[in-house]
Amino acid sequence: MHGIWVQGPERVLFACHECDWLHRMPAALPEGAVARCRRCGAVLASSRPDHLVRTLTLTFATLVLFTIVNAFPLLELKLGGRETSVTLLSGALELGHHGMWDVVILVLLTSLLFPILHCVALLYVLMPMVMGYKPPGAVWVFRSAHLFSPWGMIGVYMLGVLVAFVKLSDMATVVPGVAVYALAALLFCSTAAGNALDCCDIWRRIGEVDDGHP
Amino acid sequence: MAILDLTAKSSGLIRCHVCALVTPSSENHPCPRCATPLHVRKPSSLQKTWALTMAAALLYIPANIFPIMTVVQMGQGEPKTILAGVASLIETGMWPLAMIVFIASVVVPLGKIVILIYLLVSVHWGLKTYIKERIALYRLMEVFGHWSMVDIFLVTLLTTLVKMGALATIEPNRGVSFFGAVVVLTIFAARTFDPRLIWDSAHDQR
Ligand SMILES: [Zn+2]
Ligand SMILES: [Zn+2]
Ligand SMILES: [Zn+2]
Repeated sequence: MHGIWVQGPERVLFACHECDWLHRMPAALPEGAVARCRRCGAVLASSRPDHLVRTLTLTFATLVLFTIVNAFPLLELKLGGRETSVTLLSGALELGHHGMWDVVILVLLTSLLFPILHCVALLYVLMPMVMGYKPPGAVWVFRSAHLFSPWGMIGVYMLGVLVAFVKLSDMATVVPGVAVYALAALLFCSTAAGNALDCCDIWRRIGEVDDGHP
Repeated sequence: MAILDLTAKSSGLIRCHVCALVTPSSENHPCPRCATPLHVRKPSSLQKTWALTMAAALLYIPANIFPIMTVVQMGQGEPKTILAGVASLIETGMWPLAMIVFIASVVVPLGKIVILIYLLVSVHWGLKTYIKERIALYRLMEVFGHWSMVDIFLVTLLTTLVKMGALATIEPNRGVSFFGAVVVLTIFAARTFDPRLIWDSAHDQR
């Protein structure tokens, strides 16, 4: 039987999310380090220097880009003297005209609402934390952010726009709108924000102020 | 201080699935840090995953039988299913697009359903081998799972853009709803499956 002693002050207990294997790890990893599960190789944690400020900046940029994406058309179509365009919102709502409200809700949630709520939740928790205090309800808000994140599908949406662009180029003149470039930048910022975010450290901070839990 | 075993479960500890805190606790008690109800393993993981996977498999049939959109050009055109759409992309020489749509709308959802059934059956039978391979399949499913939404986004974009009256129009059809349901169900199914169950059967062997 392998005996592992319960965490000392500088080490924390980690259980792998994929195989449940126990690890004792330093609370703060050295720079550039990635901790992998000894049994299954899943990434347990990685060092994310300056994660608070970096995530905050990138999340703020994502939210700003969201307003730009929403204000301009993604694609414009010109055919026989007629012109049409599609925006993130008009595209999502279009199927409502055909009575397919289930699809409208699905598209609205995955392309608009969940990604935006995710950003707002992160900003709500991170902004005060950078300034050194904990916002009220941080536990609840950060938990919600964790729930929203798998349902944001901006990357998939971007692919959908590219496929639509190529497909329609065959039959008409398609002009990519300002929103396409903003959407590409948004995708980059939100991915970078996701990579910068150190959930473990944020939970540690939330826990510390809340009930003095290490 | 307590002596710990190899896994959290065998040491009487629970990992919070939201904030990752590992604490000595019991089923359904709130996490001391984030108040989420704790579970040693995802509750009724196998039953829920079976139900969601079967529902997805069942709805995949109408999703492919019913047309998803109608392209009318110069007054000509008829409702097309997902596969007919892929076929017409091939006909017009758009091979890369045909591949993307085929992978996203056929390979990904079907692959997910097959992988889920295989993982479920292997856990039921207490399979002790091919653990790394099964974990690799699970991870594959996690990474590519939501790409099947491409077709849904594509239909909304095309129907909004192509409203050129007599010249060309694209209308959505009922198949989209069924396909959307399949996507949502497979995502939930993958999330209710607990990969630790794959390791548990191997661990029991010791
Ligand atoms: Zn592991
Ligand atoms: Zn999680
Ligand atoms: Zn927790």
